[in-house]
Amino acid sequence: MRETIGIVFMAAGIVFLFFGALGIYRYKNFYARSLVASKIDTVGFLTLLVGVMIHKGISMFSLKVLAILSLGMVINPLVSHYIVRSAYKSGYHVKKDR
Amino acid sequence: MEIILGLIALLSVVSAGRIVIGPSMWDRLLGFNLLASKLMMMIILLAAIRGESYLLDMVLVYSLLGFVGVIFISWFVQRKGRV
Repeated sequence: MRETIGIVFMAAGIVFLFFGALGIYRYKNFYARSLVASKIDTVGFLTLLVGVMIHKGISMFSLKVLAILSLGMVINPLVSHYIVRSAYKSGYHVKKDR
Repeated sequence: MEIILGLIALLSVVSAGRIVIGPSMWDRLLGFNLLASKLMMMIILLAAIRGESYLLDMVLVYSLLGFVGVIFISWFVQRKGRV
């Protein structure tokens, strides 16, 4: 029972990642693209790791996965923010697409 | 589980496509960041499939190094070389 719930969570993570990959190619200007990519990718990362944790149950393994999950939750948005900030500060202005 | 691993591999190739296509340098950084996080997910899934936990320590180190690397590249680019 627990494994199937884990698989369901992982499948949800895959769906998020698919939309993230779709979002990269959908948007023309950089800023919309980076917003979509970083946000959905982080959510996909979290959902997938929660799925792995549920799949493995209470153990040392899922404790380490929890550490990576909490770290990734902090790092991923921070890196994306910093990339877009450096793009904006270096004067990379794009026209709004429709 | 293996199917999910294969799907993530496919998606990481798509993110790598963005690195190749990306008009500006920051698109490439963004694509690299996405590729790095997908790579982490793949390693975690591999560790879950095999049941070995030493791979997770590697993922922890990799995520921190990737973080520091991308932050420094974007800071270096923003300061136009004057670090």
